[in-house]
Amino acid sequence: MSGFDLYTVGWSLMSLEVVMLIAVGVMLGIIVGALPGLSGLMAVSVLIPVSYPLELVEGLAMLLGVYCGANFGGSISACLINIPGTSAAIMTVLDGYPLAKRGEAGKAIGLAALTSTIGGIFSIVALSAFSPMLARIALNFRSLELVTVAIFGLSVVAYVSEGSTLKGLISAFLGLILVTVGYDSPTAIQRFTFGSINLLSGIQFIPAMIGLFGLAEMLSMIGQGSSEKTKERFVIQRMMDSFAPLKRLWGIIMRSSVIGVIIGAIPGAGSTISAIVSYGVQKRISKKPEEFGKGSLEGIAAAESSNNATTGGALIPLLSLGIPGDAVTAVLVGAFIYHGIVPGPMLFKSNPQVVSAIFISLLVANIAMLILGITCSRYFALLLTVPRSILNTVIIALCVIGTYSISNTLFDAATMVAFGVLGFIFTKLDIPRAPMVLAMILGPLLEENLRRWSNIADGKYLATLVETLAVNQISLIMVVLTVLILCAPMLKNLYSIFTRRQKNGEFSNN
Amino acid sequence: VKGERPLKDIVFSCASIMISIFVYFYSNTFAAVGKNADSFIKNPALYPKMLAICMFVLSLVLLLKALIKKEKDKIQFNFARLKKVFVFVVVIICYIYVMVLVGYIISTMLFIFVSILLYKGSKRQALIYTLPITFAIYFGFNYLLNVMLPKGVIFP
Repeated sequence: MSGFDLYTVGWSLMSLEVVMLIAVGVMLGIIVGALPGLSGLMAVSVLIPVSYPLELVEGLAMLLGVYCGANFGGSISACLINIPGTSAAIMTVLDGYPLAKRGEAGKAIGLAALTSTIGGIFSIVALSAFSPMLARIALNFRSLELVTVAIFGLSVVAYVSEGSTLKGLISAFLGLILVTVGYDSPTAIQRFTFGSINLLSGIQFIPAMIGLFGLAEMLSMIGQGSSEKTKERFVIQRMMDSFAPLKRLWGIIMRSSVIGVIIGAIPGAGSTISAIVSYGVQKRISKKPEEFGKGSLEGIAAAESSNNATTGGALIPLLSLGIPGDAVTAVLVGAFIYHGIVPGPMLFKSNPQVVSAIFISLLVANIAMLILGITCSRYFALLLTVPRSILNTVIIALCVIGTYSISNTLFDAATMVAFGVLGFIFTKLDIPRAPMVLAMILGPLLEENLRRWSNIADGKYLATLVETLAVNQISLIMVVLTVLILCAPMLKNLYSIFTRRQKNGEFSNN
Repeated sequence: VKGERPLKDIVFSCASIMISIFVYFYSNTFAAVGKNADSFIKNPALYPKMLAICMFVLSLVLLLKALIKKEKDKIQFNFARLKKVFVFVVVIICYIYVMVLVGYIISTMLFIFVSILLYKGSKRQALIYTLPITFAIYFGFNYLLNVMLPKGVIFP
C-alpha cells in the first residue's frame, strides 16, 4: 500500500449511517459537555456499551464524535452560566462569561465553535501526518522502549492530575495492581482471584470505567440540591459575528493548536492542561494582556482551539504506540479491544482502513461540530434547565443497563457498582482517578514487557539497563524525562525557597 | 475547610499501606513454576510484589507528609449525605437483582421513580417522567441498537 492510500481507503466505510452516527455522537457530546458535572470522559465510558452492537468503525466514529463534541460543549455553559461544563473549558469561563454579560453570548459561543473546529482540524492533519511515521519507528520498539514509554505516561498523568503527584502515583499503582487480577498468561497461575470464576479473566475494564466515571459522578451529586437553576439568562444571537474577528486571530489559533497537539500527544496530559497552557502563553505574549479575563476574544480563541486540538494529538500515541494520550483515549481502547483489535503500530499494517476511517470520522465530527455549534447552541443551552433529578436518573439507568445487558452477567454490573463506590471515595478523598484508568490500560503491556526484558537481562538488571540505555536513545530520553517529571514538584519547592530567600536578601540589603 | 487535606491523606495512605501489605503477602501464595522459578518471567508473584513495595513506599511518604502538616482540624463528615449515598447504592444493587428477576421494564420503572425522588425531584416529576424514560431507553436499545434487554425469569 502506498503512503497516500492510508487517507483514502477509509472513505468506502463512510456510509450515510456512519455520518449520521458521528452527528449523533457530536450532539450527545456537546450536550454532555454543556452540562456541568458531566464530562466527555463520562459520556464516552457510558456510551461504550452502546457502541458494542455496532461495527468497530461505526462505534468508534460515534465515540470520537462524542469526544470532540464534549470538548466544545463545555464552552456553552462556560459562557452562559459561568461554570465550565467540562474541565477543559476552565479557561473559556474567564473571557466567555464577561462577553455574555455584555450581551455578546452568541459571539463568544460562535467563536468557541469556530476556533474549536479549526483546532480540531489542525490536529487531524497533525495526527494523519505524524502517526504513520511514529508507527514505523514504533514497530522496532522492543520491551525496554515500551516499558519506559508506559512509565513515562503514568508519571505524566500522575503529575498533571489534581491533588499531588504522590497521590496520582499511588492511584496509578492501585490500577496496576488491579489489572494483575486473573490468569497470569506466561505461567497459567491465578492471581488474586480468591477462587472466583468471574475473576479468572481479570477485572473487566469497561464496567470499571463506567463505574469510576459514570456512577461515581452521579453518587457525588446526591444530596446536592435538585438543580442549580441560574438566575441569569443570556440570549444567544448573532453567532455569525464571530467570523469577523477571525482574520486577526489566525496566528493565535495556529499557535494554540500546536500547543494543543503537542500536549495531547504527551501520554497522560489532556485537554484541560493544553487549555491552561495556551491561555497562559497567549496572555503573556499578547499585545493587550489587560483584556484577558474581561472578555478577550484572544483568550477564547487560545483556550478553545487548543483544547480541541488535543483530541487529534491524544490519538497520536494511541494509534502509533498503543499508549493512550489521555483518559478518554484510554477508555476508547476498550472499544478497540472489544472488537478484537489492539491499537498500536501494527494497526497501520493489519487494519489500515480502520486508521483511515478514524482520520475521516474525526474530520466529519469537526465539521458536524461547527454546524451544530453555530445552528443549535441556543437549543443546547435550554438543556441547562432540565432538572438534575431526571438527568442523573437516566444516566444511572444507562450505566446499569449498559453494563448488564450487553454481557448479561451480574458480575459486570457488580463490578460497575463497586468501582462506582471506589470512584466516589476517590473524589471525596481528593485522589485523581485518571492515573488509575491509564494504569489499567497500560498494566498488561507494562508487565509483559518488563518480564520479557528481565528475561533478557537474566538477573543482571542494573548492568543490562545501563548497557541498553547507552545504545538506546529513546529509552534513555524517556527515563530522563520521567525522572525530571517526578522530581518537578521537589524542584519547584526548592526554586520557591530559593527565590524567597533571594527576595528576603534584597529586602535586608535595602 | 482548613486541615481537611492532611486528614484525607492520612485515611487514604493508611488504606493504601494496608492494601500494599496485603498484596505483598498474598503474592506469596502464587506458586512459581518450572526451572529458574525465581526468575521474573517464571514467577507470577514478583511483579505484584514489586508494585506493592513501590506503593507501600509512596503511601508511607504521603502519610508522613500528612502527619508533619500542622493544621489538623476536624474532618467534615456529612453523615446525612453519606447515608443517602449508601441508600442509593443499595437501591442500584436492588435494581440489578430485580431486573434479573422480573425483566427490564418493571424494574426500570421502579428504579426511575425511586431515583428521581432520591435526587430531590418532586413526586409530580417522578410520575410524569417514569414511563417516557423507561420506554425511550427500551426503544433505543431494542430497535436502534438491536440489543435485547433482559426479560426476567419470572415472566418470560
